[in-house]
Amino acid sequence: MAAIFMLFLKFFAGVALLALVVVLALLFDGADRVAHARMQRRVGPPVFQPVYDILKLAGKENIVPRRAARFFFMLAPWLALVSTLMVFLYIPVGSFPAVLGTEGDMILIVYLLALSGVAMAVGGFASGNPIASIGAGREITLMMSYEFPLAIVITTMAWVAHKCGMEGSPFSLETFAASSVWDAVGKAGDFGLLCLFLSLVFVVPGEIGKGPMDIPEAKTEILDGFIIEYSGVNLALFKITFALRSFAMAAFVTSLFVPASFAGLLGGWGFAAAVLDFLLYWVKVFVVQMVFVTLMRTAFGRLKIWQASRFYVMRVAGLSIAGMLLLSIDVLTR
Amino acid sequence: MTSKFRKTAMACGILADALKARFGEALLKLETHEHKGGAANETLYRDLWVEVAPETFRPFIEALFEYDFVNFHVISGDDTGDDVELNYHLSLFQRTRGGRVGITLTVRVPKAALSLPSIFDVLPGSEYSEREVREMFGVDFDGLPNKTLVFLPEDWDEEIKPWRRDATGPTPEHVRELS
Amino acid sequence: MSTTYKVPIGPVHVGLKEPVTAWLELDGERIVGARVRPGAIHRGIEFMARERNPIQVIYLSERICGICSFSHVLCFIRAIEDLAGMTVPVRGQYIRTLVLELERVHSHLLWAGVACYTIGFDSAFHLGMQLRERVMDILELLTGNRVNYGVATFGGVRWDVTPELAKAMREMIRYYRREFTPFRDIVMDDPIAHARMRGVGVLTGEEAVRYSATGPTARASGLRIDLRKSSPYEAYGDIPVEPIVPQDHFGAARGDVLDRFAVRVMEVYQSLDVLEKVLDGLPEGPYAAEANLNKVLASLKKAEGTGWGIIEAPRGDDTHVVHLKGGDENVYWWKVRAPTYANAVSWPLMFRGNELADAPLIINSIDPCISCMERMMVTDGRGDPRVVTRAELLERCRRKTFDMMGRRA
Repeated sequence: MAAIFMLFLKFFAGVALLALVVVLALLFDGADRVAHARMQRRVGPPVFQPVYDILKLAGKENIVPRRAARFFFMLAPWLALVSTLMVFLYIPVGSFPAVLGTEGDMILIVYLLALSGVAMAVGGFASGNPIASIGAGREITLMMSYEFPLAIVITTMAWVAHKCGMEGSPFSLETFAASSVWDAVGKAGDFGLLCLFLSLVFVVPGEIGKGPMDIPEAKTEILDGFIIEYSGVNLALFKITFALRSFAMAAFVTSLFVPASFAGLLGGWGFAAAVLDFLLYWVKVFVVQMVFVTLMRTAFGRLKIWQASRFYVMRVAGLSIAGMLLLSIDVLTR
Repeated sequence: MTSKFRKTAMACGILADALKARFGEALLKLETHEHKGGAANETLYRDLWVEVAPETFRPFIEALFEYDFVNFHVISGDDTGDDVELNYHLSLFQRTRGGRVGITLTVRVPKAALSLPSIFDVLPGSEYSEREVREMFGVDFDGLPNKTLVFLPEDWDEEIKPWRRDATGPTPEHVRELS
Repeated sequence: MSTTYKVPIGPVHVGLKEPVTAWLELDGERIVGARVRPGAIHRGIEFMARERNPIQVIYLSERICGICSFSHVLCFIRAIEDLAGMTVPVRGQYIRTLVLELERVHSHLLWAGVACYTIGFDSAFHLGMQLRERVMDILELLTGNRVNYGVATFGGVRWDVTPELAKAMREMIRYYRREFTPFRDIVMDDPIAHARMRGVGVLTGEEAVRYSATGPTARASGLRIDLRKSSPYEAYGDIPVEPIVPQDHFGAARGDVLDRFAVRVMEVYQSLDVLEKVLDGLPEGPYAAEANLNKVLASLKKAEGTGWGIIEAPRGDDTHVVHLKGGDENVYWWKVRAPTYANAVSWPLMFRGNELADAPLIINSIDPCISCMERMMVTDGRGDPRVVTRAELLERCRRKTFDMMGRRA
């Protein structure tokens, strides 16, 4: 009986969370556009513009190109959206545990994000447009480039959590949300963590296809790349996916590296602290997104695909390996 | 032949005399236009207007290359009844102040034999102009590798030569009045 | 086995300002072959001129291009002045030079912004657009219009530079000296902008000579050619201008997109200097030889012959050739050659060994003005029978304006 009750609870919590996440992602996307515009001395769109866009697109018909592989073309947006949405079921929000925290960990999150990326690429290839194929090819290339530093960051973090005796499973995000990894290591370790943090921050634009890494979409080169043939509801789904991906990455970075919470301050007020942490969490995500997504995409132009690939494989991977070494030295020489 | 512009200039008058001495009667026309300006109203630069027969056209262009690498501007033209008149607009001596000599080389190509040697091999910059003249006047350029349309649409009826003033030119019903 | 496939850039493309098609043959991302096909915006301007008198053609020539409209007007006017032997008062010449240089500043700023946009550097693009507003304001102050100034006429200009305007212009020059440098530094010191523009779209000096490249495109390849120097016109007879080439400023001319960017940026500073000298040396006196257009028209009706006008437009040399027939009021024939016409021939060379990502940047790097390049259109009568007439269009515009006013009010 209790098990069924828990299942229902998780179901409702999941549905509520996902609804909240979609709305917040779109709002954050709107805020991103306004902030981007203000930094360029423009006025920018209303904050709700992404919501209006989605509503408008949702009322339009899907057009499937004659040369497209219809099944994959229609499947791709749904697959991308669902896999991105599922990420949020494994990310703890403030001091609330992740809805499905016991069923999956960081590795799953990375794979879900990769799955949605692959889904986008599949949609591009399936649309039968050479430009979309180029965009999809670029997406895959980019993904292969940033997965390596990303993997190093995650495994190193898990290893540190395990070695430093942080509570919980080393690969679970809750471990990092519950106690600060920055406190767990020494001076050299802090530098190492900083390297890992920066590597992850550099991976963010690639993962979400914005800023200097908007290569798969590159509208002045390949006209929005793999979504060129999409329209109507499918396009709306992709738009939500894009907003969710940057939101998910910001949430991921926040959970891993910014564990600040009110729990310590309001020790006795368990529930109030939890509610405040819940709100604080979104504020943190917002700040992370503003700094590492909006600022990045305002400050830089777009790289070419081989330049981006080299950047990830040489520079960012190097940085993450440096972080890994520093942390190893720190942890092993205790 | 090196592709470089000469650093020094030759006075327009001297060039004109040299061309006259070289081609003599083959120069059907040789005029100088002066361009004045500035506060002192001095002559700032000069243009040469030359006319040659189609047979002399290619030797004349080659002769110009002995003075400086020719800078090609454009081919203008008109349908003068029995001939198509083409004006090649060229420049020499562009490195010194006021030294540039603009040359307008006129060639009258008879409609009976609408063909002229191409200068694409020496001046590849002339490609668009030659293709344009080909599609607009129907002049065939001997030696031009790409003879496809350049500005006219792909489905253009190539019998119509838009700049001609005779039967092959556009008739009033071809012109769509927008107002 | 390597397979190539064809991808069109254009005719309508986000990265391009105007319609032109470049069919690229790609091997992965690498360009192995390119075929450029203009023709999408041929409007028949040269043909239209045959039914208009020279005064009307001034305003027609202004509509060849929205950016370098004054260059085309002046070029056409100089061609007519060449054949009819007209003279221009010195003040008129100076004001023409003033507008030419203002237009150059405007055009180069616009191009620099668009180049940044093409490489996805939107912030610099918006900064460039914002900088450009100031020179547009000055042009509006002088002529009443932001584009298509309607300021030149045969034998002079139509608007004078008042002392207040001269003051505003000096203010503008100071503004640009102050504000343009940050923009230049933002772009030219940016590692990503460097990565995107260095070594891309190379046109060597020898090729630039052979393919008759012109303007900043030729100068970026190291050719010291500038019509303002080699055949001075108007006030350039008094104000010497030296061609700007990258080897003087950066050691060597590579002929790539970054060099083209640098040359245009340096030319903005040069234009500011020229503007200052023109304002300093602006002589007193009439600014037009003959204000009565009917008299001008009557004298042009008698004129006969061919005239050639050639000036240094922002993008390169602009050539107009006009023929008038004695006793005929209309222009007999007219040939326009915009700078893009010359530079576009070099596109296939610039594409060599580059990637798809570079293609729009390379196309933009010569600052193409496709509507300048293409001017003529006759339909073969098989087109869409339902054509919106000008009167209808005007009516629709008015209705829309009224609608909008009604909604706002």
